[in-house]
Amino acid sequence: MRLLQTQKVTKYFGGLCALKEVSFNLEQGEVMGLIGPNGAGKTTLINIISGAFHPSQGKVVYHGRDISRLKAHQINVLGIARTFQVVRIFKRLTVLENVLTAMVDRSKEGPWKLVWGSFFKRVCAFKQDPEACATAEGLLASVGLLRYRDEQAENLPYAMAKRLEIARALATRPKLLLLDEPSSGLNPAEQNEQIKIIRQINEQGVTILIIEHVMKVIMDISHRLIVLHYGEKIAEGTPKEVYSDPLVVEAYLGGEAHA
Amino acid sequence: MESLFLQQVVNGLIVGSVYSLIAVGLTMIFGVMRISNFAHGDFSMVGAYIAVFLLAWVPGWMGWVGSLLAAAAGVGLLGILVERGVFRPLLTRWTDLDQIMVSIGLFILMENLAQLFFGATPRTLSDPFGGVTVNMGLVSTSAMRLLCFAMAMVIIIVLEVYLNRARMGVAIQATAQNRTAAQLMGININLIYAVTFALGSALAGLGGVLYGTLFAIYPTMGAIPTLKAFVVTILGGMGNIRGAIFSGFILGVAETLGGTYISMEYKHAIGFVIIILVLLIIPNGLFGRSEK
Amino acid sequence: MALLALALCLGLTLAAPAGAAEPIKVGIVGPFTGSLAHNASEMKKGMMLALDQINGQGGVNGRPLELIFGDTSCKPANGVAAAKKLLSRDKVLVLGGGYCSSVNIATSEVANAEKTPVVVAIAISPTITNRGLKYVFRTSPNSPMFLQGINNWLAEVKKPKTVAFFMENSDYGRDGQKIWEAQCKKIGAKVLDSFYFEIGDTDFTTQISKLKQLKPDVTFNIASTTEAALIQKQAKELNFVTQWIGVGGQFTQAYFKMTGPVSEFAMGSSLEPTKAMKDPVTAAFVKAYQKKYPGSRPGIFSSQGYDNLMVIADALKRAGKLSGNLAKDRDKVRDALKATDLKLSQGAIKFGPDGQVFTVYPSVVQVQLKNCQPDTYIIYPASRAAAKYLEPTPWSKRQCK
Repeated sequence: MRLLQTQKVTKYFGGLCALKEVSFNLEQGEVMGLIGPNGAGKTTLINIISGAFHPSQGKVVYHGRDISRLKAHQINVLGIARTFQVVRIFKRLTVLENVLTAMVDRSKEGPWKLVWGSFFKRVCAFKQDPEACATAEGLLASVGLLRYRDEQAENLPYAMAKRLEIARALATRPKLLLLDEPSSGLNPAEQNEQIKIIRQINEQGVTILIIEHVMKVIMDISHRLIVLHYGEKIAEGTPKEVYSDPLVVEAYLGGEAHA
Repeated sequence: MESLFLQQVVNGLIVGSVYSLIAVGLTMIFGVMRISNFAHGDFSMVGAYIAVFLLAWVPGWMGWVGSLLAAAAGVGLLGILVERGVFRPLLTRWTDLDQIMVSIGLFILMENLAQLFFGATPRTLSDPFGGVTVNMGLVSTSAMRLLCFAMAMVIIIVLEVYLNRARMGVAIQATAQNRTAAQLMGININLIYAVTFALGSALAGLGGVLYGTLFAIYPTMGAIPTLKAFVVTILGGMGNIRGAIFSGFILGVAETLGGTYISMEYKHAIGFVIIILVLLIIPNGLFGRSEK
Repeated sequence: MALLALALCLGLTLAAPAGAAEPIKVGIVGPFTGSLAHNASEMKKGMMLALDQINGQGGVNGRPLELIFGDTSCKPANGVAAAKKLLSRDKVLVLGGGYCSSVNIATSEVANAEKTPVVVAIAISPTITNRGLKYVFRTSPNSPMFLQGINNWLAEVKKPKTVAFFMENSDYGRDGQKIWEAQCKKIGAKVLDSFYFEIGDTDFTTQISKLKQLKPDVTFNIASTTEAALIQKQAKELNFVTQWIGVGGQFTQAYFKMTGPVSEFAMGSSLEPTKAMKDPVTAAFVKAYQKKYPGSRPGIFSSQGYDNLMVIADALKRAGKLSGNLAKDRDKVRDALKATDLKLSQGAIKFGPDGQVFTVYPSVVQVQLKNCQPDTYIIYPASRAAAKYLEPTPWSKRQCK
């Protein structure tokens, strides 16, 4: 079943064309790798899907619905979550609170309920919302962060912060998870751990679109790959197919060098 | 035997509590929306005038307590209107400088409208205690001043609890710490902005009633609270709410003690001297943390 | 208003009812247009009352007085033009009126050069009478004299041992302090300390707490309405009792509305004629004024305008029969002015050798309560006093709230 489809998505920043008529399909349950040299437009594409930018032309269709004009929080509510290349956790909240923020504003509760209705629902000790807390703790456990539960997020080691970001994204109960370089800056052991976590998430039925430079990671977990080069899609297929594609080889070898 | 030192500390804490209250609103708005609202003190002025008219209508305790509620509600509502009509359109489109100029424009507009509608004659709020003074041996003050202090403390504590316990509070903090990430957590930041601005303005309004009770109410009264709130906000670290609370008290006491033991003429300068020192030595404020 | 201004600019003459004798012409300058027009009109109303009384009693030596007005708009250049026109075209015998120190410094010089006596009604700059100009007189007190009443009261009645200053940080506050400091030195009062505040300040608790430690008998406090009222309120909140003394300008309606009974015992000074009803001359003036202008109260400017023209008329009378030679007559009037000795609505009028009146200065007023309503009452000098001086009592002993 098709979960997401981009239709000739184009994005200009001033005169610069960051994406040019990019179309691809994402099937439910798959892990799609998004690769390409630096500046190829990978993060821009994720920004557009998650609603940070609107496309200049083209459409993003999710569950048969055009979401390209929706705001970021509306798209999140529909079931698309993301992480960032550089971690963006809430540094001055605890690890548990970071995950709880994702449960703050599920739009079934109106704004007034949010302002008044749940005055004492933050800390689990208050037991008013044991459900949210249990869910949050479960998510922390699934990424191996439960022992850091009450730590200030800014004190986490980098690898843990990256996992926290994933747990927080999962707390919004996504059907589609967009991961922007989840293993950048990690050592090989941490990368292995990260692969395990991503695979687990996928096994629970979450579709994943992942940007990754680390070859081992991308080859290990992606079912399919698409390759962007100067804003254009130049290849699509299984990892094996893609890496034997002469266009891709040229893009990488002819382009700038990188990890 | 009365103690000058203790007396000045008490004086400083009382005025400091009102500084804190007003500054917390300013720092909240800055923290979440990155707006430096130079009209913040004029929201206090509006709150004070709401109290003037309500107390003229319903005198005594009922009127005074009602004034606090009405000022919080009225100025909060005004905050929503101003946020929607003035600041929100600027948030994404214009630069920080535009935003500052607009808020200064707003400050001039509000002062002049107040002059037009309320007249320049200063007013005071009648004291529901009837001017009872409290002599506690070492220090003396009035019952009303103590009540203002207590009221400011209560409001600050309620706010602390709200921001740390309520879902909305967490959402506000998350937005302050990372706007984009909060949005991607499904937090509707436009709603957060409206609530933050309303809450911050309501605090200014409440502070205005207390400030007006302690001092006097006139159209240009907002300038001093604005100035003090900025000093407090910078001291506490821009956007840091707890920092603003403590810094308000620090400024209040530093002013009175500085005025007593250094020089009265430099009383107002003391806040700025502290700011300069803090910015030189700890640029993020006494309680600030570097944040990206 | 515009028509009136036009008429004034053209030098519209306001003559007494046509008599057989030719009127004596007196020039009156003032800012009859512009932002001070209201105050100038108060002065003019006082003068018109004086004119009625003078001409009603047969004028001066059988001749009616005629006033010719010249508008200065409170601008020195306009003032000079108006004065020159009055002196050379209208050939007035003497120049009265005046308002705005800067204008009167100029017009008095013009009149002095023309050897025409000029009697300035309202202006406070000491410069006007300290330049040694022989034809210049002034019927209003100059700025140092505004504190004369309080100084006399301090020396004769209060005799404080210790004083403190709590002043507005401005020329107004600092100049006032200089005058009072000199007086304190003279009467042997010790200055304990001086504090200042900025215009627009609202929190005075720091300074008041310090004053409370010093316990001065008298605390001088030059401040405008809002600051003065807040200081009174905060003094109560900090339980501080002293004899507050200010200039007196702060005692406005707004002030009493802000302070209520808290301002009790505060002192200042006042030239308001309605405060000095004990003085029979002043009382008669107030009565006559209210008869001529029903529903209005004479203020300082009406009273000063009235006295100004009365002084001129008296000098003209004593100058005797006029020769018709303008220069000679003007000299005669000047000599007569020098010998002025009158009792008028502002009090006794005598000129010093410099032409400055030295007998008129503001009376000392104190805020007292009647039915818990605060108002100012003259307490000094005794000849004009409406009430007795009251020592400030501790806050706990005060009944009104």
